[in-house]
Amino acid sequence: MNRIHGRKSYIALPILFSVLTALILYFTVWPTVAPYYSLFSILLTSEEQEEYNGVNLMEQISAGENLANRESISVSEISLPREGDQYGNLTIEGTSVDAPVFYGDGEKQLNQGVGTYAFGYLPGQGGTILMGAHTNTWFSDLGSAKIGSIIKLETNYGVYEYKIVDAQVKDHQDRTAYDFSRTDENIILYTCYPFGTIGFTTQRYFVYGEYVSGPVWVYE
Amino acid sequence: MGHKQLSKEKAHYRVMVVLSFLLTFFSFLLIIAGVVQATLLNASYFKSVAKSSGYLEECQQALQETFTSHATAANVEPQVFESFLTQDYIAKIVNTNIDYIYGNGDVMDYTQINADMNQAIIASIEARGIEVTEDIETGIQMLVDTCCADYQNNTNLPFLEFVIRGLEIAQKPMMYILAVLTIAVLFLLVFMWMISRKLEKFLPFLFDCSVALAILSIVFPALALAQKIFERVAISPERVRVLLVGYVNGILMRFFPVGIAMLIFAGVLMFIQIRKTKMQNKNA
Repeated sequence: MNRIHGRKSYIALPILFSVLTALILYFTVWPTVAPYYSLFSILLTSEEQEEYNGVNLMEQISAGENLANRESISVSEISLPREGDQYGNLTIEGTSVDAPVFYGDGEKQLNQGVGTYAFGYLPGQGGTILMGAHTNTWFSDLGSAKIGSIIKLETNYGVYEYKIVDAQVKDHQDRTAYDFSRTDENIILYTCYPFGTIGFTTQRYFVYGEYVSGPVWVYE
Repeated sequence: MGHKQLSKEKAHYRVMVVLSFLLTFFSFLLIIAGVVQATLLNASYFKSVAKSSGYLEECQQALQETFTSHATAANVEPQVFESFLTQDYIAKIVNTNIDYIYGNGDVMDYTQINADMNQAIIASIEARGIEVTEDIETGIQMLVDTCCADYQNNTNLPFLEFVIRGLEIAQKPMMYILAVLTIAVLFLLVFMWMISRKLEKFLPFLFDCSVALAILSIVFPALALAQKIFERVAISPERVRVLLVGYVNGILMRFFPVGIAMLIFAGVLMFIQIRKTKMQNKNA
């Protein structure tokens, strides 16, 4: 072997070359790539580590537990639903509406039951709860709901009742149909209108209910 | 050997070290540029990743869920969408989108799909014995338009167009510059060898370059793969995560053959060097 290029050089020089190349590339390329990487991270990443398929929180209620008689509930006691979870069941007096209630109102939830608008409120939270379902399945009989009838919402943390005070047909883009600035608990149920229609429609049937009973959230 | 001769040899050695490092650096950049050309800037590669990574299945699943919901909302039989949700059908849309991104075709035209879907839905309604009124026609058209928008939303590739177009602009001049620089350094090395006229003084540096390139081409992608880039990073929606994982892993895997080739090349150089030394010793 070469006298100057000794045996050690055959190991040291390739390692030195590769480390130097890697370092130069890192320090020259990274400042250019970093802003794009951050942008991608913000726009593409979510808190969810894996795709979440939702659970049925109603199954977690023990058989003897009486949720109906409570007047208030500490937030720390509540298993808050994540998007996709079934956290309740909805029935309306005088109608055949009897549907599972999910948190979130994406296609997946609407295929399975009644969806809760996630940027609205939850029962007991003290605000406007907005729930929707398809007119040809879970809410096909929503039109039979009479003013004064009771909407019963059983959740994994309590049973809530709301009295129907109004029902209206409005355009799907009419923002006066709901008011999330209200500070009193109320519920809005909606579905496509006319009932049994074929194809998409621009009208929605809204049913408005005022709070009657159910445990109010207490923040401690 | 005189003192002057030794200093000259040392200076020669140092110049060779610097030159071989430059050769390593530019060659590696050239390898990166080559991999980018063969992967990121190659529409066929993208299509194959879309197929092999499970991206098409994810798109299909998302569309299936959406169309089922639409069918329920519109009082239409979900089966009517079956022929519009096959993997071949979705692959056709995805491939058209990819071709558009790479500038190989026009933007996806949904006119034909729109017409076909409309016709299929109306036929299924009529088969149920329902008369298709003007109101129903309007409702069906709204449904079909929504479905076409869903195709677009569920098969689009966010930001990719921006990345590809940017890379395409930079890639060609970069390739030329790197090729010129690499050849220039290689020429200087050969020039240095021609001065000394001793192959055994030239080969070790080429060997160092080859091993360094092999390390860079094998170790770094291997480290990146071991950490499973993107698999630990939560990316949403799922179809984008699946595609990115397959894409990045595929690109990194492209470095391995280069690394293996460099190792073989280094082995050949070592063999020649050893034979040369042996022959010299024999002659001595």
